[in-house]
Amino acid sequence: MHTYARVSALFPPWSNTATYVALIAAVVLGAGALVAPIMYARSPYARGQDDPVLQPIAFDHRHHVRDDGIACLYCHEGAERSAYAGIPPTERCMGCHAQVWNDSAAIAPLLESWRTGTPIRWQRVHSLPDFVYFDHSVHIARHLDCSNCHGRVDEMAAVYQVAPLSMEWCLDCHRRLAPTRTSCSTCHR
Amino acid sequence: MTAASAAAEEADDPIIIGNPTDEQLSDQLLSHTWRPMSRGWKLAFLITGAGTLMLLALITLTVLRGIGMWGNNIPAAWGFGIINFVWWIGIGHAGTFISAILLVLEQQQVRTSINRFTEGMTLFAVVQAGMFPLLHLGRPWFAYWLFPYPAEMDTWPQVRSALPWDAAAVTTYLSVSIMFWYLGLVPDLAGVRDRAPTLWRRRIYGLFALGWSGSVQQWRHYKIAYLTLAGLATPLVISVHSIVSLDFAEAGLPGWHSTIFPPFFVAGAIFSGFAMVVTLIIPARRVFKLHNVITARHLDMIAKMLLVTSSIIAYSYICELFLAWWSGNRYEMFEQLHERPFGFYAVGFWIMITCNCVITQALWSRRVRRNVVALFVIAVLVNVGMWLERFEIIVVSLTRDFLPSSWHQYAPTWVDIGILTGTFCFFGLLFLAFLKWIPFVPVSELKELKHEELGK
Amino acid sequence: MSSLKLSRRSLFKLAGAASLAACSSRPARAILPYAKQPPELVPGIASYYATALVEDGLATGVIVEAHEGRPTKVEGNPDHPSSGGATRAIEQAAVLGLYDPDRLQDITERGEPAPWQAIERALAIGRRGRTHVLLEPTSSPLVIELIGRLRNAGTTVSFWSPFEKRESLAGNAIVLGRPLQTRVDLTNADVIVSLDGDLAFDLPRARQLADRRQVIDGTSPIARLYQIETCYSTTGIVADHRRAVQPSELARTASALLAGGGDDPWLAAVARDLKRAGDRGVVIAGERAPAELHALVAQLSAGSRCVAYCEPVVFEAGTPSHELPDLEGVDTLLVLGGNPAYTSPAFAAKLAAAQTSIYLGLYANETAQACRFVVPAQHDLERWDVARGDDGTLTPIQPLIEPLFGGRSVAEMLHELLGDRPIDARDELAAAWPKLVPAMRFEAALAHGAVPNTAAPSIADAKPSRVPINAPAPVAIELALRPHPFLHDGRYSNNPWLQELPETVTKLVWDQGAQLSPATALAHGIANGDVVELSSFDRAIQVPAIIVPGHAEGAITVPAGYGRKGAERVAREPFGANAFELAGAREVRLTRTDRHIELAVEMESPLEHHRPVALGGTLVELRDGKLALGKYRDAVPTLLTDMPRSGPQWAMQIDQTTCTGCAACVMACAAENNTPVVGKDQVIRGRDMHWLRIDRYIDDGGATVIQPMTCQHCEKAPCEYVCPVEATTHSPEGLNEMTYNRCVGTRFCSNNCPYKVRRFNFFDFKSHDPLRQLGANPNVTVRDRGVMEKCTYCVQRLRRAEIDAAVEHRAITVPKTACAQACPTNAIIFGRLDVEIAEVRRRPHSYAELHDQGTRPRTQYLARIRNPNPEIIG
Repeated sequence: MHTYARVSALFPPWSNTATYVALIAAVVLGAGALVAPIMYARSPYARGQDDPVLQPIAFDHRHHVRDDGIACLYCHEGAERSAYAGIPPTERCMGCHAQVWNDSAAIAPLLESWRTGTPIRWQRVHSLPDFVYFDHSVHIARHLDCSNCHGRVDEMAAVYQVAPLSMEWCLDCHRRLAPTRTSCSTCHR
Repeated sequence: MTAASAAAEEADDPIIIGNPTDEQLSDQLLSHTWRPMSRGWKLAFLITGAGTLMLLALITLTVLRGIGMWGNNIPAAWGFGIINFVWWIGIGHAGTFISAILLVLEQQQVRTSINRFTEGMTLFAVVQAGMFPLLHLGRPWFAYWLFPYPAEMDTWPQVRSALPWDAAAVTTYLSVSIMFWYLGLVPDLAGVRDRAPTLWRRRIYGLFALGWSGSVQQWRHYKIAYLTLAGLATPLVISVHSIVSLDFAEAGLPGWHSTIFPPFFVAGAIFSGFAMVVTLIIPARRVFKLHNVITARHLDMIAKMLLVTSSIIAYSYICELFLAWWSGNRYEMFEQLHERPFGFYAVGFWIMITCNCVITQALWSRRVRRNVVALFVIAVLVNVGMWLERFEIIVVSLTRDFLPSSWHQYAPTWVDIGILTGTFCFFGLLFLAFLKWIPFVPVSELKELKHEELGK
Repeated sequence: MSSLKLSRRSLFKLAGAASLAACSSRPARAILPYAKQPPELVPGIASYYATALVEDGLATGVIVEAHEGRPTKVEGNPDHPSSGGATRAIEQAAVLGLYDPDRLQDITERGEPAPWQAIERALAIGRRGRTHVLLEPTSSPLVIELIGRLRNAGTTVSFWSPFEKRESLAGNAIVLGRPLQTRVDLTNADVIVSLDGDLAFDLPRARQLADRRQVIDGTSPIARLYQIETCYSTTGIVADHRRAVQPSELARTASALLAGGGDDPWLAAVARDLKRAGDRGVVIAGERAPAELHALVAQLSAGSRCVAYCEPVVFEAGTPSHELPDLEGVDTLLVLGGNPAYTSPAFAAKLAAAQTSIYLGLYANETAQACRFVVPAQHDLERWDVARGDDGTLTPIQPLIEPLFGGRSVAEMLHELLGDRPIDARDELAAAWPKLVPAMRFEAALAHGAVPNTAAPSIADAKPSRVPINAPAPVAIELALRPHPFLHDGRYSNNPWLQELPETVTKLVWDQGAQLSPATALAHGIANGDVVELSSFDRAIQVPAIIVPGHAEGAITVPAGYGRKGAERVAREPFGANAFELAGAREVRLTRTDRHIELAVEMESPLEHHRPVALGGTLVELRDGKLALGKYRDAVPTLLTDMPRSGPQWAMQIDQTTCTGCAACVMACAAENNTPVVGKDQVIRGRDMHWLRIDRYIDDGGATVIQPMTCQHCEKAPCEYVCPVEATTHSPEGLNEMTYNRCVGTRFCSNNCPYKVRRFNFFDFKSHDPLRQLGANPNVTVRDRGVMEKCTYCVQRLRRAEIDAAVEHRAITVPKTACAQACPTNAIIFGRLDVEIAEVRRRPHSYAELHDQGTRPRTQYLARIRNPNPEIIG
């Protein structure tokens, strides 16, 4: 009886409940700690998706592609030959803009670049790690459409990344369409 | 000595000396948890604590600068890191062997009064061991890639490699060991809770005692759970070091590529584990004056176990040499019959043979087995010998493989030696804390055994 | 969803919040397109330009790969006779020399930055006073024209390079009456006796020798090579018979050969072999051998169809203007290139005598430190010029990049000295071109990289006369001062790639090694790494010794290029001394000092330990089927499952008979694959990073064999199944892939690799210097610390070829790996298992390394086949 009294003095009556709660919380948090990063890695936030990127010039693909009917490869002609689709040099823009809208304030940075010969600092929208050797040309040669990966850029005011650009996403397509091109050195070297 | 007289002597040789009451036992075995620390204890904590800080500093250095801080190179891509890993994980085997296997085999007489102690040793040794596979990685921050999880890269670990199995085996072993150890502790933690003089001590121990009241129902559940965990732990003793041995046996390297590795490694692990038990228990027994519960008979039985495992190890060494010769494989023969016994690291080989196979023969003598000093010295030497065994297996095989063009000597750096020393200190720190604050002799089990033994 | 986001974005924009917190975890990175893109350039596609690298006035035609205007890789120019598509290690390392942060960057006067006007003023004064111009040997018609104008104006001009062709021209002058250049062509040679010759680094000769030594099945004869030399050279490794002699013994050997061998049965057998070969026998001598030997060799080779003579390609070569000048009374001295203060310590003392000295060079070296004015020069990849190849072929030189540090060319300095108006270098060359070569347009020549049919004509009536030559008497310890195979005379000493390239015979890196034979070392109580003092009269140097089995007794070989005292950081690192201190000395006193250093030797064991590693045999054994290499080839049973196959099945074959161990492949691999430099300490620790190494084994008799060793791309790869994370995997084309970004660094793969060809980044070895980074190949990941790496069969080139074929909808053009492309002897063949490799793999002497390990390597070897003279036993 004496012993019992000593024990009861040690902890308040709610401590049992607290213990149960703590144990359940530990299990939940532990599981969460495992699952959360796995979910996070697939989130559009982590992948950089759906986030329109602000450019030094408010270049609108809707206008150039949809309204003017300029083909993707007119400006991004590297996509046919090179690993990089490329951003057109100022010279390309000036091909038209020397004549049209050449007094618009919106293209002032373009004119500045043309005058000084300094490149325009466009902001990257699609970014792959340096150890991934993606090649545009072979995908174009295999008749993939730009929109397969880049989405409807012609409907974007500011371009954003549509695809997750994760390895899972690359592999999913490769396994279906190019099953012999799934070995590691296809992309990593 | 006739068999009859030996048996008689055995019978004289009690596992508990005297007939202490339960109260006396509790006082003797629990009071150290609340007694104030002596200067000697503080000094020991200080030394091991400083060594642990050094270990942390060297780990930080290794992670910041790279694995090049160690002596590893090509060809010896594994060095001290893996030697230490195998050595420590080997030591971590005796605990579970004693507590789980002997429990399952109902050998309480041998087991009780030292099982908690060996479990603690196991746990802390596995903690030391567990650091190395992580640390020795070139990029330890990606260690989780060895575990199967749904990666957004659509990648999985490779099941053909022994290493993911190793990671799984070691983590399983660590978690089962913790559970087994902790479950056994609960009644004794409750014992401290009930006897400790100050309220805050009682509260802390009470928290960890998980509301143990010693009711019949609790004891019933406890016994079932304890035996179940023992049953789970038993195969792990065999599997962990078998899988560790596959880290080597799986490779084609001369000196590694051998089917005898799993049993050879398990025997070696238990051998080194028992040696470490002796190394630790003899000083602890003296410091805590436990001669009445850890008796000469316990030591005698462990010494016999050492002798048995030493013989298995000696047999394995002979097997290795014979198989190398029998295989006719020039690389195996060179490795086993030339490089290990007569090569650059031959001194290590002969020390290993002396420590693991020759010196242990003294244990045939009952006098040696009963001589605490002799037993302690032999146990320490066995620890050295078993460390060198791993050195011989790993370093000699790696530095002398197929193409002589790639041969290159291996030498540890000061960081290697510092980390090994640091793990001794960290192990010591954990062990001292264990001895100081945790009931390291299972009082409840001892009482039960006392009643069973003396009640006969 | 997106439109909603957009409106939110527009709202913020209206509010003027330009800097938004991005709604993604990715840090923003800019893309900077060209403002005006050069028409020939597509970002991401490499461009290739033909140009040349010049050494001692002789051009080696190269093709340089550039990415967005950055030169990254040098390849040989197949259209250039001095290259034939191949390169030496030195050419491969040129890119690293270009991006060298130690290069001179500013014009200085006594160490202080000075404007170009200061140089103009000094040269204007120079025009009026007594001026001397010291140039490196040159063959550039542009420079030669300027020299003529300078001499007319009263300026004296001379040329200096320590290891230029000097002795051979002097020797030829003895027997031919004038200093003609020897031209050796081994295309039709059957018996070659080389007296200290080094064929491995002479690209056209190495290729010709290899072509004459192609072993198919032993039934067709191959050329026989004898090498008589002092230090063990790679030519000695290749030779069928080799003899080590003191340098002074060479002339006696040649005299004996001339006399039919004398009473030496070995030499008599060689002489008989030569005689049997008739005009298909040839005797050649190394450039370092004294003039007397060259005179004897010319007599020995008289009547051989393999030897012809032509006027020297280098301007005024063999004349007194190629000796160092006495600077008595010179007011202004121009040193344009070279490093005479280092290569001639005697000249260094004289340098101070000139009132004004101007140095044009790449580095703040010893000469720069001794001169008042220092002007940064242009690297070969930065300049316009024209030069001649070794055979006289006219070679235009065009820049790959604007001078990184605003360097000046030799022609520019000479123009300034003449008081000419500044002229654009390209315009000058283009304007001079029609006069130089009426037959070929300038642009066409630039694209081609060489002007065909401009080789110097052979002189038909050049017949060596019999002139008695007295051989020098033997001495106790004779000095052989040699250019280092990679550092040359020290001009490449600041190139870390070349410093860390193991010399094939000694496997030594980073430090100087005075080579001596085991017996000589024993007699003097010298062990490897002991520092020895070599002295001759009042001059002495201290160098570490390295013992080389097979080195001549009573001789010591000291490579040049060490003991550099300039401001170049890399060049100062190795332990060693300036061998030129002992230039001209023949006998040296050899004493051991108490110092000892640890030499960084990349191979610890020189022995094969009686293992079937680098297999070989004789031609006769092969012909008679006695070699029985079949047991080293057949597949052994395996438990591993077959990998799925698709696409071209890549494979490699390495011919140990034609491989000369010149190490061009090793350097090419480093240049192509961004392998890092680790430094001496790490090499000693066993952490060198070369993906390709040249194993050399010395047998009990001192004979050496070599074997290039790299990833064998096993079909049953032991590394693959032990990797816990599948970072190393098998591709359907048979590549053993290494995915760096998946590697966690357990290093299990390396442990299980029987060939130990995997390399691990124990530290962060990659270069952090932004200038050095410009030279990296953008198509290969630069590896971080903690990951494993290894030969990939240049997978980036394979993927490039596959993509090109896919884009152009055609069959694949088989690319060459970097090692195969650089190889001067085509000893490395790369291609498809069933097409390019099929024939060589069927040859009876093809074998798989460590075949008993069941790895089924895709890289296999052709055994080293010797063609010994049956009259000579052993």
